[in-house]
Formats: sequence, C-alpha cells, structure tokens
Amino acid sequence: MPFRVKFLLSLAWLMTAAGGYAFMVHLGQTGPSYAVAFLGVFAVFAMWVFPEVAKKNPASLK
Amino acid sequence: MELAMTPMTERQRKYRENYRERVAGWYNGWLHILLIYTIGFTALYVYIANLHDVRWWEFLAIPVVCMFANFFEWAVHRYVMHRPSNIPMLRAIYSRHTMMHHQFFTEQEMRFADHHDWRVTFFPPFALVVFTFMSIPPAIVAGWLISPNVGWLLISTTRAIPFYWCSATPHCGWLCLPARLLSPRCSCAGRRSWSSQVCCSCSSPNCSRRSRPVCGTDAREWRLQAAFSPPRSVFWPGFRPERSADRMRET
Repeated sequence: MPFRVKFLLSLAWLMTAAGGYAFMVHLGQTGPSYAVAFLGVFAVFAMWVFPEVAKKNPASLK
Repeated sequence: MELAMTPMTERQRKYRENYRERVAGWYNGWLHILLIYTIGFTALYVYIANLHDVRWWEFLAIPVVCMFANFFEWAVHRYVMHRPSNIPMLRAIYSRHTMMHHQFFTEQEMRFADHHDWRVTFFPPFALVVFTFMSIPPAIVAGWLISPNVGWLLISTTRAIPFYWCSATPHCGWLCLPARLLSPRCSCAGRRSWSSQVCCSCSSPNCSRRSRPVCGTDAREWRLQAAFSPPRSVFWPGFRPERSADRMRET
C-alpha cells in the first residue's frame, strides 16, 4: 500500500477513534472507551508493521 | 516449503514459490492472526457492550445483515475483485484477489503449505479498518432510524462476518448463495472448489451463465469473470437460456 494512502487511512482512523472515545465517555461507558482508545492506536500500529508483498521478486532485482 | 503430495500445475507451483519470496521474511501467520483477532475482538467488545435490553425483533438485524452482506460480497467479487479497473484502488483489489489469491490457490490445489501462506488469504489489518469505515454509516443510520441496538447489532454482524468468511471456512459455500438464488437452474454439483461453487464450471446446457470467452482474456481469467456474471434472465425477462445455448452450439 502506498505510503500516502496508509498515512491518510491512519489519520482518518485515529480521528474516528478519538470521536469514538469521546462518544463512549459521553455514554458513560468506561471499559469500551478504553477499548476504543486501544483500538485506535493498535490498528494503526498493526497497519504499519504488517509486511507488504513486494511487487518483484527480491532475487530478480539483484 | 511446499506440499509434498499435490496435483498442482507447474505454473501454480512457480507462482506460489515466487509469492513466498516476495513476502517479508519475518512474516508469521500466527502473528497475523493475533493482530487481526485483537482488532476484531476489541471492536466486537465495544459494540456488544453498548447493547442494552435488546428486544426480540432487534435480533432480526443479524440475519438481515448477513443476507445483505452475502449480496454485497457477491457484487464486490463480480464488479471489483474479478474485473480489472482503471481506478487504481479498484485495480489494486483486483490484483490482490484475482492475480494473487486465485493464482496461489486453484481448483487443483487449495491447501496451505504452512502458516506463511496465510498472508495471501487472511485480511491484512488495513482491510479491517476499511471494513469498519464502511460499516459505520449504515450503523449510524440504522441506529437513528430504527433503534440504537439495531445499529450496534448491524456493525457487530459486519465485523463478525469477515471472521467467518476468511477465517473459519475460506471459500465457503455461502458465497454461492446469491448465485444460486439468481440462477436457480444452474446445477453447481461438483467438487468443493472455488469454480464449481460459483457455477462457472457448470456443464448443464440450461445454465444461463454459460457464455463464450471474451477476446484478450485467458481461459482462466474469463472463467473467473464469468463466475460472477449475473444471469441475463434477471435483467432480460424474455431471455431463454436454452435458446442461447443452442445459438452457441450453432456458432
């Protein structure tokens, strides 16, 4: 996935998670609010550490 | 790292070998599962924690969403995943699905060699993020229009479905449901493989899905595209598949 797309997706996800956190706090949901905050950070972390599939075989580039 | 006893073709074997070399060496299938299940179950916890005093009719959201999700899945395969597009994002989906997934797994060989092969089947983390984005608007609308519980059940169901489709039973028969509903005359009896389940290898002369390959596509790609072509009788009430089959034989 191109860097730009991944960056925008991460940004949108963090903003959504922030909104979700505020909504859970507004509803008085303590556990779910922490879960949403965790989800926001963890999903972004997972997206960035997850290995991409190279377009070309690394051996053929040598 | 390949299956010892396998009927796969040389082409498939080479593709699988090449794909594995293109995946970063530290990839671990079990870690992949851990990542996506952590995201999925955390999200499910949030959704379910917000359900309160659910009435019996609100649970009807689950089968209704499952049914819509089936048709959505079918449509995405038909119009995006098996059809090359000029739009880069859609083209990328096509490339990952048809050009990678369906070359890695074929009707001759659909098995994993080991957990490193899960990279080509299980959703990557960004897909779960995208699915969540796609589910939020309908959940908000359902929550406003019907009841908050229906909204939470809707998003819970859309979150749970990918687990079922892509974790529990890859290439399961559910995908064939819309095809069977739209084309009841098509007999899909055959091996439990991708192509037979979606009717593309149906040998019945009454099957309205039969058509000739399109120029410029190889037989395999055509068959994958044909698998998701809606039967013409749905959009063309006067269409008679038998006559079409006769015409095909004449030409």
